[in-house]
Amino acid sequence: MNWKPVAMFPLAALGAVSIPMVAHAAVYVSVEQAQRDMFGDQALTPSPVALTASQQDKMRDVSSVSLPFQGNRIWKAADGGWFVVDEVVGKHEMITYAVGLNADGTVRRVEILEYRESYGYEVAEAKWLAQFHGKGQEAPLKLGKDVENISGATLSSKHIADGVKRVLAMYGLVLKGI
Amino acid sequence: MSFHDPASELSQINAARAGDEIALHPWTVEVLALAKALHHASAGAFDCGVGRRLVEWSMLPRHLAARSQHALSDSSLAHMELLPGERIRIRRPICLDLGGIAKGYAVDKAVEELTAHGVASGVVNAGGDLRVLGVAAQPIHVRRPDDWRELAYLGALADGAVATSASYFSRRYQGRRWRCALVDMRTGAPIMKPSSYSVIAPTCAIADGLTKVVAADGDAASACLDRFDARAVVL
Repeated sequence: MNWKPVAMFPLAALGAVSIPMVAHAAVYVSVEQAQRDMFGDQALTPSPVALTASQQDKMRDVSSVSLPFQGNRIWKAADGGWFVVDEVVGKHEMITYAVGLNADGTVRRVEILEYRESYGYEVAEAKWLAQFHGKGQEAPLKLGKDVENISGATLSSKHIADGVKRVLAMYGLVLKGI
Repeated sequence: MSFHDPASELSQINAARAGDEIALHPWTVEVLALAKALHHASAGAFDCGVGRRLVEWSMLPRHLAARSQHALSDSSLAHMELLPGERIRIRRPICLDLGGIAKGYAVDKAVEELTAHGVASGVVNAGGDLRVLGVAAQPIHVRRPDDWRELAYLGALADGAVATSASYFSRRYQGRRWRCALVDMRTGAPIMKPSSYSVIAPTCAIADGLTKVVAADGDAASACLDRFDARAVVL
């Protein structure tokens, strides 16, 4: 028997790692909260975009995410940054996440907004998501390369990495020119 | 081992009269033997005789063949004797429930079956009572007792089992009192504390049974644990 207990007890300390586990939508973080986390008090202006078929194709090629990108959840920040909400499939259920971009198109922060699977939620941990900070369009965002795989959450971790890649591609194709 | 099935071996045990001897399936005997060992090691805190209370509190069905409460007032595993040749003798009528140990046992049997088929690693999870087969450590999360929809990460387990008992699902207001299915059999009182009791042990049947002992003691430092090479976590 090999048991490695976590060091954090009593129950109050566990608050930092407790995670909602319901298999249907578990809203970790609201859009407003994520916006505040990433941009503080800055004014955010809704800036929805409509992608052409060719842009969707390019994004699909780059990221392998086949779900069409909905451009209706994008905000522009006063400092030139962007806040984008997107979705990818985890394993069976959708994961809704937000990517904050700096004015230069690099990743400011990634947050998981809604997670519906009953496991694999390690993708929501700040430590794992921190890997995306500063990534730009040229970043491979490949599991095992510049993004660490999470054992037991391989699909979710791959799909989130792909999702961030497609948001970066979308920035290059659409937002950069706005 | 089903309490609900009136034709099960457990129901035969519960319908038996003083002096009756019953031949049982080897698995049932194995579970009862383990239950006896836990009963003894815990000085009675673990006792499958809890069936009587659970019937009284309407948490288990009252079968037609069941005794009156008076006759069962002393329902305890202590009144069941294991005999050689996979038989038992009932010294006094009892009402046993194996729900506190049989699920863990089923997990162990499943793991045995996997091993027999050459499986080197895996997890068998029976609604939270689980056993990890192999050296690849699995993350173990349990429900937070203050909000059962949330999980707390306890640690990583390889080659061992974990089981958890708590009152959050079974607690109900019945007969003008709060009750739950987790009972300290030394006193007969339900353990209503808003805590959860997890035990990590080499096998799941032991982990399952020991959660009731840890719950009765209320803390993770129960003397019983060392005896079974087990650890406990109380939230």
